[in-house]
Amino acid sequence: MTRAVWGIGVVLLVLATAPAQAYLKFGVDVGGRTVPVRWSPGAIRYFIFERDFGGVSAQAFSDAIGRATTTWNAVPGLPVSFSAQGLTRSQPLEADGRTTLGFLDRPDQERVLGATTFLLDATTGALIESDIYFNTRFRWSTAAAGEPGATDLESVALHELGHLLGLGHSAIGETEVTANGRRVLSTGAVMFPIAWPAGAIADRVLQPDDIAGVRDLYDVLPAAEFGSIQGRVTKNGRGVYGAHIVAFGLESGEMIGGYTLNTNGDFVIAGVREGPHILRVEPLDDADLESFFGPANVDIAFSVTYGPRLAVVQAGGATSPLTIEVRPK
Amino acid sequence: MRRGAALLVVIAAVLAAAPSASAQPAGGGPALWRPWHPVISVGGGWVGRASLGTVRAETRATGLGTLTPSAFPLFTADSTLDAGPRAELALAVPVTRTLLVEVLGTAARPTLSTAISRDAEGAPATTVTEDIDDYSVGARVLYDVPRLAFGGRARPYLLAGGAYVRQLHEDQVLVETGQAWTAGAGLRLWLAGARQGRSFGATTELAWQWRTGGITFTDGARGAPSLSLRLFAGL
Repeated sequence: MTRAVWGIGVVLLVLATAPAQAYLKFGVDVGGRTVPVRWSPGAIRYFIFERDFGGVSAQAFSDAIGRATTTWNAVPGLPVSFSAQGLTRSQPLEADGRTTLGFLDRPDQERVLGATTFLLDATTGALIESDIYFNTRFRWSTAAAGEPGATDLESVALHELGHLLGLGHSAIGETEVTANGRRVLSTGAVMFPIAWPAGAIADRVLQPDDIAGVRDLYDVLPAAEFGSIQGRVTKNGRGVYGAHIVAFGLESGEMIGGYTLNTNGDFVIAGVREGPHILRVEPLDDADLESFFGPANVDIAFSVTYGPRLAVVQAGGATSPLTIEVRPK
Repeated sequence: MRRGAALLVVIAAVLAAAPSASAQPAGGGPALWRPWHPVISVGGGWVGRASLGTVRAETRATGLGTLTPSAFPLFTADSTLDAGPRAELALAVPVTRTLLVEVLGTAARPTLSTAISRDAEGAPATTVTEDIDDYSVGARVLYDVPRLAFGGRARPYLLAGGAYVRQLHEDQVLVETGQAWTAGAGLRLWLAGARQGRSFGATTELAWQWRTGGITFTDGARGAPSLSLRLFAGL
C-alpha cells in the first residue's frame, strides 16, 4: 500500500494481496478463504538499505526508522516487535527473503511518497518478506522538529510500518479537492491514506484508531476494556456497501472507524472502549476509493448521517445491532 | 412513570385539603417526633434537567513542526439528562424530637439526550436519545425547625445528605455509578396524630442535587433541582 502526497490515481504496489476484508486490515485469498495478512508472533527482522539521499544519511534514515518501530513496539500486548538487523546492500523490492526499508528511485510514482510491498506464500498466506521504499522523487527530513518543505521520514515510516504489520487505510480524516488534487484538512489516524503537507511531524504519534486496528488484527484487545459495535447501514431500506462509520466515545473522546463490507451494509467496529458512543456515517469521499478496497459497488451517494441512538459498549461484549438509515444525496 | 405522576397528584390533593379541623394535633402545641419511632414515607418527585457536558469530536488539523497540532472539530455533542419524575421511598428514625435520620431510595427513568451539531460537513443538527434506569440509595439528616411551626401541625425542615447512584444504559449492559449530594428545605404537614402515638401526613420539599460520577461526559459535579411530594406515617 502507498501513502500519497495527494490523492488521485495512486498505483498500488502490493505484490500479492487481495482487497481488505475487514476494517483496517489486509486480507489475502488462500484457497477461496480470506486470511488476514499478519506476522507470526516474534520478531519482525528488518534491514536498512545502505543508501544516503538528499542530506539524509543511511544512519539518519536508520535512526528515524528505529524511532518509528519503537512507537509500534510500544502498542500494548502486540505479539510481534520490530528488530533492526543492520544495513544491507539489497534494495527494497528485491525478493530476497529479507524485509528491507530504504530509499528508492521511483520517478514514475510522482504522487507516492512511499509504499509497502508483501511477498506471501500463496498456499498458506504466510508472510515471507515485506519491503518499504521511500521515493527519492521527494525531499526528506529526519530533523527533530521537521523541516519546512521536506517530508518527515519518521511520519511516513510509521504509516508504512502500519501497512507492514497488516493494517489497511483508515478513513478518519477530512480533505478538500483543489486544482492540484486533495488537500488534507484533518486526520484522526496515522493510517489515513493522504499525508500532511511537507514539514508536518504530527504523524509520529499513533492515534486511537491506529492502535485499535493493530490490536484487533493481532487479537490482543483486552476484553476487560474493549467491546465492539455492530450494525447495518441502509439507504432506502437496502444495504450500503463501503460506508465509513466512525464511533466517537462520549467518555473516552476517542474515534474508531470501520466500514460496511458487504452489500447488506453490515459493519463491526472492534476495539471500542466501554461507554456510550455517537455513530457518524459518511461516504468514502475524502480519498480515492482505491485507497481502501476498490471502487466496485461502493456507494458514496449519501449525506453524512448520525446513528438514531447512542451505541453503548460493554467491555468484552458487542452492542445490539443498530440500523442507520442514511439520507440519499 | 404515569403512576408516579398520579401519585404526585394524589399527594398534592391531600396537601391542598389539609386545613381541616380533624388535622389539629392534640394539645395544640407544635408537632414533634417521638424519638426512635420510625417514620415511613412514600411518594414521588420531579427532578430537573441536568447538563452532562459538551464534548467536541476532534481530529488533528494541519500543523507544521508540532506533534500536537490544533484540533479540527468534526462535530459537537451536548448531553443532558432530561427532567422527569421519580419514585421515592424512605424510612426515617427520629433521634430527637426535631432531628431525623433518613434512608431514602429513589428510582427514575430519565432520558439521556445528546444534541449533535456543528458537523464539519454540514450534516443537519440532530438529537439522539436513550432511556436511563436511575437508582439511588442514601442517607439524609432532616432538622425540623421548631420555631417555625405553622398552627401546630405544619413545620418546615432543612435537609442534607448523600447517596450512592447507580445508572443503567438503555440496553442494560452497562452500569455506571456515582454519588449524589443533596441540600434543601421542606414543609411537613401532620394530618393526624402529631402529638399522639401514630401520625400521618404529607411533606413537600425543594432541594438541589449535585452529582459526581455516574453518566457524565465532563469532570466535576453537575447540579439539578428536585421537587418531592410524599405521604408519611409515623409508627
